[in-house]
Amino acid sequence: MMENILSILIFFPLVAAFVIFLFFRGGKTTMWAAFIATIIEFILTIPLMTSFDKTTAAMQFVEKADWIPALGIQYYVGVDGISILMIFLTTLLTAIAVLGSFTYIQKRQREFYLALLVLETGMVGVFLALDFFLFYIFWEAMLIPMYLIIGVWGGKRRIYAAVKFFLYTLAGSVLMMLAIIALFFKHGEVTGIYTFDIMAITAQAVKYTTGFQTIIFLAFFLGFAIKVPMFPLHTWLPDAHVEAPTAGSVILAGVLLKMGTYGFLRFCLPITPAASISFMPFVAILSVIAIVYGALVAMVQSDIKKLVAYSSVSHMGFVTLGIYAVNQAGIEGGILQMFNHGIITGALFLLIGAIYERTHTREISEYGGIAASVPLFATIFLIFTMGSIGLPGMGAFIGEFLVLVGAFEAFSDYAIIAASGVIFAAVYMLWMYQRVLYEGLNNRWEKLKDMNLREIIYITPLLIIVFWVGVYPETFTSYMHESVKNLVEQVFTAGVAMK
Amino acid sequence: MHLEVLILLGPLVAFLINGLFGRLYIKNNAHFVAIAGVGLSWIVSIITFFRVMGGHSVDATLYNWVAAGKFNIPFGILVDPLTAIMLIVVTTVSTMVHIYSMGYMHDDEGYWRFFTYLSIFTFSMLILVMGNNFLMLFVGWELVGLSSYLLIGFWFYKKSAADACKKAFVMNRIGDFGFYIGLLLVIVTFQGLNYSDAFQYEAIQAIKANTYTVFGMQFSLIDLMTLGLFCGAMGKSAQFPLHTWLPDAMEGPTPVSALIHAATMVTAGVYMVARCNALFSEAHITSMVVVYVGMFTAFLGATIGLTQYDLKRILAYSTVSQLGYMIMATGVGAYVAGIFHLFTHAFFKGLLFLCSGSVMHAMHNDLDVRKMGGLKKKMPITYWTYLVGCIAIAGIPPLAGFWSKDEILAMTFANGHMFPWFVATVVAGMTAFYMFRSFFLVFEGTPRNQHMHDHAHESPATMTGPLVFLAILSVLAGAVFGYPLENGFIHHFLGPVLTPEGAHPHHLEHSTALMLMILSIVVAAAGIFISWLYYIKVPSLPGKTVKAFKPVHTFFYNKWFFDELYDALIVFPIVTISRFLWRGFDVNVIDFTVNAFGKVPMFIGGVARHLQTGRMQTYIFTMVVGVIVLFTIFYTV
Repeated sequence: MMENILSILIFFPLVAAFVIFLFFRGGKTTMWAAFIATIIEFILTIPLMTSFDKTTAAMQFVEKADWIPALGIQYYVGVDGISILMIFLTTLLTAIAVLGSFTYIQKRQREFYLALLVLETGMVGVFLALDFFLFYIFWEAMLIPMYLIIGVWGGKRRIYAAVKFFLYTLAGSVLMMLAIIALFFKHGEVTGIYTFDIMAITAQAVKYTTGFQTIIFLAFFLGFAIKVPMFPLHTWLPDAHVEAPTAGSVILAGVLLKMGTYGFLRFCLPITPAASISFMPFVAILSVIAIVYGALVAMVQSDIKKLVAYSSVSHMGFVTLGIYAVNQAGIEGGILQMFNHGIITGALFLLIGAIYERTHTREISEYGGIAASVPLFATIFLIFTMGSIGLPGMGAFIGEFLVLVGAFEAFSDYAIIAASGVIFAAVYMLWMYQRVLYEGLNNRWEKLKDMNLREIIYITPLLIIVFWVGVYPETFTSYMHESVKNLVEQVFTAGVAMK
Repeated sequence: MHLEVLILLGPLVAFLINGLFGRLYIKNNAHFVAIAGVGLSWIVSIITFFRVMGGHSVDATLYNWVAAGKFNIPFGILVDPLTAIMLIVVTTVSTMVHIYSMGYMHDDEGYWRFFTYLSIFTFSMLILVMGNNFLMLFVGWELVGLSSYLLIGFWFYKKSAADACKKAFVMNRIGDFGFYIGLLLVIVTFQGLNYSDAFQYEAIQAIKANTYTVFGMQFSLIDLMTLGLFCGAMGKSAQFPLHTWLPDAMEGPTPVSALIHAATMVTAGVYMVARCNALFSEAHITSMVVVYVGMFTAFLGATIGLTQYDLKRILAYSTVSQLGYMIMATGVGAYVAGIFHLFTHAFFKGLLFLCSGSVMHAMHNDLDVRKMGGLKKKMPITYWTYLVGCIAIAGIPPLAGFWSKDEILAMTFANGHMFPWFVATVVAGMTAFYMFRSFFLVFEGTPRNQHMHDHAHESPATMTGPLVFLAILSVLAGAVFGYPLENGFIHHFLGPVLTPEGAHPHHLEHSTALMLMILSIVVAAAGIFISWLYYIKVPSLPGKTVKAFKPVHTFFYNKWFFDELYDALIVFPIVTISRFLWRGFDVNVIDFTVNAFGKVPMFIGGVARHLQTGRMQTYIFTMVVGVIVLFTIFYTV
């Protein structure tokens, strides 16, 4: 089984979706079927994690087969230290998102879970594909279910939000496709072999001229920057988050945003190393702007979800800053921060969703003092609030620390500005926390029910992980040491060889 | 496994047990768990203290914590004389406060929650003093901030408490921002964060002359590094300009004020500077900044303390002022004196706060000293112990405060900082005055509110017990540890870790030292005498003085208007700018552009209808053009 584990991981959700489509008609049984399917998918990642060889940077569990040989298209998947944590995050958050939707989604239940399962196949596929054509298919396949999740099960302005999300992402996809086609021809020209093989194309990076690299870099960069999202391409995110149902927000923040930064790591840095190096300061500036800008705008939001959405812009700024420091500490911090942000922001959206189901409002001003009526919720919400602020003992602290160390080595001035994010994060998160949970109890919420068993169950794994990363990050960073080391060397040897 | 690990485990386990099971199962028995935890720490700390006296020390890695590339930061503990002293301070006061809280928090519905928070605080503070590297220090640093947040906001349903806890956290974070920069400079300079890497004499000498460029400006590396670290101390130890959170922190329950906001957490900055003496002693610009920040804070706190009517606020400003002394001491290079004052201050200020809690208990949570008076007979134990605390802080020998404060003054003088010495001496007189002012107003004279007075009563034994214990320490700790001047036990004990290599400590002539000592006693006595004159002998004097110096009084009484200033200069502009960025930029510029783009496809859609002709030739033609365009792009570049 282990030799086909990646294909199983990719297609199991799709098969499950098909089964649900054929044999289920909505209601409780459908939910449970979907939940069981996603749990099996998650359990399948555990042998992957345990039998992963941490001592090599090479692709593992590789499966390779010709698909359309005439065009050099293959079915080619593999996993390395950069993608493995993303797989773990994806399957975990999807299972949790399903459990978090049981009472939230009331209409067209079966279709909702179908969309989630198809989405999961797309997401896992994106992180595992090693062929550009395959990658692009998964990338686009992912877009549609997400569009539907926002557009069908979203809030009042869901159509506007969904279309905005779709247009933004589509613009990015088109640019990416052009870059891929150009790479296909360029690689053919350099080697005589026309292929979409990502590894083969990456291996020839030294032979691409700097001018060509710059164009490719910019096309990829724009495509992925929209996804991250980086300033100033971020405005789809607050709308999408606010309108999306809880599960949509969790997946969006937890996994989809990471595809942008994953793209930087997998394509921009190794395929266009010379261009990447010359664009380092540019990306760093954008990252720093995102950190400060996102934090400032988050501070003045009146809708809890919007606040967390803008905080994501700020936190993802740390990720891009770390990645473009192009050193071990920075990139490892960036990847760890991708993981942490997925866990913490995912949890925050779940908690906001849980309270929204009870109160039907997300306006901060309509809350007040509810810590008195929902003490358990208050405690758990505080833990993730503090996690988001980057309190030591929890994951984000380690991630931010590594990013700042890496960035400080590469460009200390930007790192200093970025570090001011630790102040702003405390301001907007604690101000929100105070207005929602502290002060006098708004008597509308006296009878508010505290978290129920199902909610406790889905939040517990996230609680465990957030502390685990904070106390013993090596469990997670040990996966990436070799791959990151290799990546940094790759960029610099190629980048230097060009000059 | 090292025995000292138990010091950390005690409160941690207590925290976990109470945190997980407190609400549903343990409830009002939470103190058993918490006191068992802190008690274990206390006992092991005392054992550790004696072992360290015998030459024992630990610098050990428990496990590799953060590793990335060339950096490897351990989760490690360090036990040396400085740590041993801090352990004694933290666990002693913490244990007393735990016991006291059994009585004080008796009827509170959040009883278990309170003890849970006390445990996490104690654990965090112990991490702070026991870590063997800067990152551990920072972890403790941030976690005490969290505990402080939780405990100030313990009665979260009060708006004032909710505001105060957020303010404390944010003000601390501003300092931590600087600390973070300092930490990053340490890691890139010394290629590690372990104290043993960063405090090496040779390594420091090697980088002493280096400069570092920030935003195009050149700075001395070591000054920049220490200045960054010191920003953290300004936040945590409530130094100007980040001092405004500490008085507001009095919204928390009084035992918390005693433990966190007087004895332990707020002294973390002093500990940090003393710990980094190897770096600070080489950073001359920073040292200057430290001296003057400390001096000014001491003065600032005292001036405000003179005018307040809320008993806990008086004590809070007194803490701000005393912290200024300690910081100033570290600035002049008198690290031992600074830590010594930290040590004695922990006991007498902890005592004073616990006494104020006892008074509060008697006065049904009213803290206005104008409503008190004549409580001497009603609460004799509180009366006597408060008096001890006042004498100790005023600096009357042989009580504890005298020894440490006198030493700070003497060392400041000896190191040639005449102006700071002068200001600090004046502040010593002010301290004696306002502390005795509070004492006279609360305990002496006649009751000013008969109804409240009639209901006043002495506190239960769980509360008075710790008072007596701390009072004994306030009497003895100074003379036992600090006599004779510059040559006492504490000097021999701490000297080896707190004397930077290559430093040339200044010593005073015996006669000069004696002169200074007499002077400081006279100043303190004068302060007490004037206080007696004002509040016992001629009670009309205070009113007249206030009238005569109306503007000055208003200025001091309103805390120099710092809060208003910050609101106007910092908070308001930032919020305004943020609103503009959101509404002005995000919505009007970016989204406007995006929506405009959205309109373009609609227009193109209209045109495109004509292109979809269904004719094969058109499609092929378009494809060929597309491919040609692509080829042109990548062949030309």
